[in-house]
Amino acid sequence: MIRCFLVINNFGKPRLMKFYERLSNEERQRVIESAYGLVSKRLEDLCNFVEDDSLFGGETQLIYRHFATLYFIVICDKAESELGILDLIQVYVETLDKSFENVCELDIIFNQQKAGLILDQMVTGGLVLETNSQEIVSKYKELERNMKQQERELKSPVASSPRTF
Amino acid sequence: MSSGGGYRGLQNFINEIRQCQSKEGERARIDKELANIRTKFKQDRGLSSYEKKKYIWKLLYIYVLGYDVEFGHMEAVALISSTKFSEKQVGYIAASVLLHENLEFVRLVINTMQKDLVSRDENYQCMALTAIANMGGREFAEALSGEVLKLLISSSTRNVVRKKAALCVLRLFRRNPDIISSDTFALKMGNLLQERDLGVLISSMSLLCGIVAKDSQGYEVVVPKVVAVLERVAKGIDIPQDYTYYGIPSPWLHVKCLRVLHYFPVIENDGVWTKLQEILRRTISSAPIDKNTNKNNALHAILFESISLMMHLNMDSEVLSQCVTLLGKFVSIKEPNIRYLGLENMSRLSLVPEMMQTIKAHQEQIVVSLNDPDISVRRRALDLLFRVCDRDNSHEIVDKLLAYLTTADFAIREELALKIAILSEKFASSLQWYVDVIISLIDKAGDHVSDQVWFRVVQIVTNNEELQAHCASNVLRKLQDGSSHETMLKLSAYVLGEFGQLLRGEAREIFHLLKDRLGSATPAAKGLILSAFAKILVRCGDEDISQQIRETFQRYGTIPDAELQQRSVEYAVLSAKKEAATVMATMPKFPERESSLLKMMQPEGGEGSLPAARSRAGMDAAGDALPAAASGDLLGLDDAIEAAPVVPLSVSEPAAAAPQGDPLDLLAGLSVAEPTPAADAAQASVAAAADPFGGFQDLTAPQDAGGEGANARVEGGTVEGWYSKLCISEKGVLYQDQYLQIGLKADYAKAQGRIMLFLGNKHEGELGQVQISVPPVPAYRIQPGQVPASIAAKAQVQIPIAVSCVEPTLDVPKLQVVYRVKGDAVKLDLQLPVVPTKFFSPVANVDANAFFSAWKAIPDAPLKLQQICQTQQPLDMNRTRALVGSAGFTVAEGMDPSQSNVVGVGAFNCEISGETVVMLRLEVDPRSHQQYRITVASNNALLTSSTKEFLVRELGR
Repeated sequence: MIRCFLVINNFGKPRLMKFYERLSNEERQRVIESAYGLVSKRLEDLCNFVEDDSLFGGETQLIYRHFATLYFIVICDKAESELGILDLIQVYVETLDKSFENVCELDIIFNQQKAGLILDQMVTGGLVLETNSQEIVSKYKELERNMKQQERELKSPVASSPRTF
Repeated sequence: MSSGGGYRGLQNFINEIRQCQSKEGERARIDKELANIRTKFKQDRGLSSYEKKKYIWKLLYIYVLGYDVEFGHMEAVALISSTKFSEKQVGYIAASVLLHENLEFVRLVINTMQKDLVSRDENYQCMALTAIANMGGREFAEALSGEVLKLLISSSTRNVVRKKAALCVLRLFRRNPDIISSDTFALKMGNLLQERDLGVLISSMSLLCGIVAKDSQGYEVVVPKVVAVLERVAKGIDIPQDYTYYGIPSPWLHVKCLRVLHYFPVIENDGVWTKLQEILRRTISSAPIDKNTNKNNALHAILFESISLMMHLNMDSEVLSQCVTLLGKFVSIKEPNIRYLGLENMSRLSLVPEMMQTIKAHQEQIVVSLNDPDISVRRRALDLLFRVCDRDNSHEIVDKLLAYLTTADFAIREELALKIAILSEKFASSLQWYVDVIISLIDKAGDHVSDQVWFRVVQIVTNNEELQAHCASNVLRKLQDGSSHETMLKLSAYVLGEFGQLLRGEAREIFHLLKDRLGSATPAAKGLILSAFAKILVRCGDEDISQQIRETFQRYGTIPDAELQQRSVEYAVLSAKKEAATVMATMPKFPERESSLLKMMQPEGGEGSLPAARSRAGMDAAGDALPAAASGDLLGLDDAIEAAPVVPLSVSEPAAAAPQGDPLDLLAGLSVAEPTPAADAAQASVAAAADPFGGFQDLTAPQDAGGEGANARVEGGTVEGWYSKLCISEKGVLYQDQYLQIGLKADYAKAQGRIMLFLGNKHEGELGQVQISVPPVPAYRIQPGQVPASIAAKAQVQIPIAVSCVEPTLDVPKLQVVYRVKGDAVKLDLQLPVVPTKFFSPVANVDANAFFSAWKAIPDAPLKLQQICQTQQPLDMNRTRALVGSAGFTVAEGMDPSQSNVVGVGAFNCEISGETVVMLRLEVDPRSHQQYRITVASNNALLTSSTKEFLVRELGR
């Protein structure tokens, strides 16, 4: 089971986090920090697996991929196939790429909700839900259409409301 | 939901945060925003839908940055119940990020979720399912599992909902396994697996995997269906283009199918078995290496999972050898992920005894991996080398490991040092080799070598004359080369003091090397150096050295450290006496005992840090590699405890060697007694650490003493909890997992006890190769009865164990139980609930006068011990009295007028000293009942301390 899915930038700033386990905010921050500490030290041409029992206790593994300015990190138990998770990260990034057109860190910063929703279509409750990139994108588009429709209905009050700051 | 979700305010806010130059600036900006949002939420005018969503998004953003946004939870919950799709959506997203299980809020949303689940709108259903699956929660399991299961099974559910429902059921099942039962659900599971849609199949397979991982019983009917799905993906039949990943039909589904089959002990249907074998063989033989990394990854994911399954299914060794050859290729491949997994899977295969030879053929490649640029790979290589080490290749492997030690990362040095120590002892071809290895080990990684290791060297060298000169010259060389680590220094001081005279003409050199290091040495090492000096002084005729040593003694005779001061004064006086030569003679040989290092290896249990012994027949027995004459044990914990009191006691005994009338008489007695091997070692080890096992304990002794292999899981309690209950009662459960239950019933009379173990097989298959052993403990004589080789399904066998108490002790006897299930050996390390209080017999008619005079007659520590303790829960006086009673004491009612005090007497029986009276006084703070003072008195220090320790532990529960 996947325990958490993290996207952290090169400087250790979390850009997206999804925990499938009950942790307090402090514990989450600790996991993020130590995960970043582990992967940021590693050179590019090393393997994508790190073991550290201090993260979540024994029997867990950290699997990550580094794309440009972002680390995509999955912490999961030993029941998951290491390479399967690597592939999953790849599918996630490919899907983001399809829906953002050349995804970059800024896209994720300003569209957390979108990145999160796409992840929800792929991983639910710590398990792989869907790996078909097409299906994920079209499902997301459908959601977006629904949202848009509602936005339009609400358009008038939005236009008249003053800027908040 | 275009850029920034269409919320300009949110976008601006994110921009501002990004422009903050410092953490403080960010904090200030966020605090300001939180204050703003708080007022907005509080104001009377209702917020517009747009505003509500915007603020929740802001809160989420702030939360991701690590700030607390507790006050926004209620707003998020409120949004979920909204009738507007977009608000509900935001609410659910926020809830699954912000809220955790068991919070009050969770209960608030259950109602809304239920409504959404039964609504006709599949978007609502999906949102609710995703949130439930992400948040989990027992409350959800109780309230919502019915609806979720309906969605999973109903034929009218659309696939997009069904696959979410499958994962949702799994999450709820993990919180409450009772929501489904195999009788009804197995068939439904079978139907789900006949689904054509791959998305549904993946999540159904995950659900099945989660269920059978817990218990596969009752789900055997779905195996043919799983294999059918496996065949479909393996052969690429009817796989839509969208579900191929770099041209490979859904590798995730493929891997999941293989993983599910792991949880079934056997494949019963012959046709299915043949089909499965064929699929697996095809995977192995067509293992290509592709240029595209992603495609390569997917192919290997399938391959590694297949290898793992073949091992589990015990396929013939020819195929497994083929796997090893394949893995061997991977180990030297350029792609680091494949190298890593190649090593990892090879480690797994090394558990199959027949595979060892084939794996050893790749030893050289594995050694090369020790210098891999990647620490993850290096760790794997180290682990694998440790597993494949045996007597044939131990020299080579240990040499490599020693060479590696100097360049190894600090993070793994400790583990490496331990592994070298264990391998060299386990597979030593000669004692000289062992001693040399350990000396190099201490030299290179002194910090990571515990005292036991050098004690062991001393013991072996003392017992084997032919090694003495060799060892002395070895450590001398190390000192000459500049080695000055504390452990090295202790060992050198001891060895050179004892055997330095065997190196002719080196006395001056030895003295100077030690003297140079004396000033900066730790007190423990200083003590050993002083002892070495005393020996040199007596044996070496060199007047110049003798003079310097006397001066050293004189100088240390006035330093504040009492121990060193005493040593120096005594040595100075002693060396002037004619008996000095006798007293300072070479140490006698140590008594033969089991090696403590190996002893530590035996209770090795579940954690898998040192899994070499697991399922490798004969490996445990390999401990006898060292000749019996050498396997004395001056290192054990037992000695440290038993020997420690000897030192102070001998103060009052007249010393045979000391002449009458000397003012130093009494102290001289001590100094004669002091260098006896056990006492010396005990002192050093007591000084070294409160935990004489040092780093070993963590790695070798399982924390929970649980089982290993075959996924044996402790059920219905904890090993510690059962043990502790049995310490104060005579029957109950000692251990339980899903295969085996061990019950215990005991009967004690005076110094004898009779324990009956009831081994019940809870499982449908046979438990084979059952073994029970109780490693010897000096204080008890324990004789387990005959153990049948196997226990039939659902059967129970009884095994009697006879126990006699020889003397009081702090040790608790171990009980090792081994059995084989589903082809895996399970090894349990338990403790027998045999504690000194079990040998208490009741005392009739406690007379107050007799009690008080006996109480007063016993002097202070160590015979009378007192301790003040805090408890977490207030002590209930009735329960406390009952506990004291069930621990074997006769509670003397009315002896102490205070209601919150308990006085008890027990008569302890053992073979050495017959009956010893133990008295107890427990004073509980009458106000808080959370603090108490316990006093235990008896005429035996060990009995007093073990009884006190035991009661403190029990009262603390």
